[in-house]
Amino acid sequence: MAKKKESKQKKMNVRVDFTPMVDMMMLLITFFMLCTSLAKPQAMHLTMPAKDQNLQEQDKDKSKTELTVTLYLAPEGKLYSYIIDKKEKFGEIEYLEEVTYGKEGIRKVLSTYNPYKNNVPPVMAIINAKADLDGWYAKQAKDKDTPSMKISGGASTGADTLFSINEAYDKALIAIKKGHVDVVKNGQKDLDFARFATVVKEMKDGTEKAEELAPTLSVNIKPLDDATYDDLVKILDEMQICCIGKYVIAQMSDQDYQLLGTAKTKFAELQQVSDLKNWPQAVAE
Amino acid sequence: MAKMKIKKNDVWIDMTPMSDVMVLLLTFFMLSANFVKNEVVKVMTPQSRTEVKVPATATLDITIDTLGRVYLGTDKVVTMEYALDTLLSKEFSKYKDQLADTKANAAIRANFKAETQIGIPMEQLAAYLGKTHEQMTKQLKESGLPLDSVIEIPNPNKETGKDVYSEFQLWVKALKNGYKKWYKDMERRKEKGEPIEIDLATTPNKLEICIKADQNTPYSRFKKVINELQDINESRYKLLTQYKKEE
Repeated sequence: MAKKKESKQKKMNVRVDFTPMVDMMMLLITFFMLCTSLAKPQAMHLTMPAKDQNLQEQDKDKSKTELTVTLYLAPEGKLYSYIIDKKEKFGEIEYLEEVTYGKEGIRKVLSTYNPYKNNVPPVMAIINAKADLDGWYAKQAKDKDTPSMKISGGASTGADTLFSINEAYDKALIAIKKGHVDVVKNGQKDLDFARFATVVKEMKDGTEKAEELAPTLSVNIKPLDDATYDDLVKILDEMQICCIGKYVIAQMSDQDYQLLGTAKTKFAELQQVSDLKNWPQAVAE
Repeated sequence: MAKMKIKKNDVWIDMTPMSDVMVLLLTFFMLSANFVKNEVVKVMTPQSRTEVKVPATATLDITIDTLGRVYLGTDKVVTMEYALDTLLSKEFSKYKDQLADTKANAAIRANFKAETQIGIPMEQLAAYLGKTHEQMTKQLKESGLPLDSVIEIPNPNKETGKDVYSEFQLWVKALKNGYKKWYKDMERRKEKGEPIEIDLATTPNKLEICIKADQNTPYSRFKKVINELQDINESRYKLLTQYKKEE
């Protein structure tokens, strides 16, 4: 009998109380939630021209009047576009339009603007080409950093260049923004390798033929002093979305103030907010 | 008399699943979050659809708040120290006497090193660095770097015989040079075969300018900062934004 009793194992209580552990976890989580931010900031590149007094007139990039869009960023979230097709028309206020920010506003204005009555508006053509390029990029192999694409260097440099998928994408995007929409096969989500190689070579040698380029829009962004930084970023973002390669943040000139000021009734609000001191005498009266 | 028998409930709750969940959440937060930098002024950056990541190191942050106050900062403590030394050197003679003991005084130096953002006009810097931490934070919040204070530095190569800078420009230059100097030091040490704590191949050799402005900052203030930067031939910037999905 006694032997039997000895063999009976004592049942230990193996239950561990996890409450303190949970308490500690709660504290740690609270700490992390308060002291960190989940949203990672994104960077938007901006390059301003260096201030160079020696800039020659011939160095300045001249874009055609009908392909230039001027955007006035006014206070209180107001935005005006000014599009004229002939230089002589500058100053005529009927071309000044109030537009809104966003998809239905400025993006529509830019992407449907069609001065040459082409089948596809210039901005749309570029956007479509970029979509094709994106399609090609998505189809590529996982490894996008190893140089794998061979681009012939041609007669001038001799040596062949090897591009990684990422480099090729960047190069092609620059080419498309310049107007080389033919580096992609239209609507087929594919890159036209032969054409791409030629364009890369031409861009390197500076032998691009103007007649082969699709028309591209240039945008003058002219923010008024009382516009907010948010307005500017919204417009810069729109430039990215519409794949506009040529845009410049320019200063308001007297003519610009005059233009906005002549439409007094239409832009009464604008005048109150703007610094009237800076306005030409004729406008401020 | 019948004994009232209270039924003893077992109140033991098993906390193990709860603990599991907590560990998961904690891991998630630790892996995905990045620490909020200690910034003097809070800014809400605008939203954009850009998907370019901000470089993790070697940034020169320019913060512009709603009122247009400008602060400079960098993630490298060494750079701050170099910058201080640069500004205290001979070219910056106007406040040299005032800041003379800053150079010698270790406590004040330590105070400066602990700074994450620069935003105090030179005139007040010596007095500022002698204060307690709370006072410093308070003063910094109300201050900001002057963009139009004019400082002349002799330059024999120029017709006028001098260069004219604002304090903001001087700080930017000092920080950029400070970083370059630090990088060169590292290269030199590596050549000598001394151990260095960074990987030179992955470390950028110059600071990149990141502008972090509030969405309600007036454009005129932003323009002023950009103009000042263009004057010292800095023309490439990164604008910090918050990612937004297409509507």
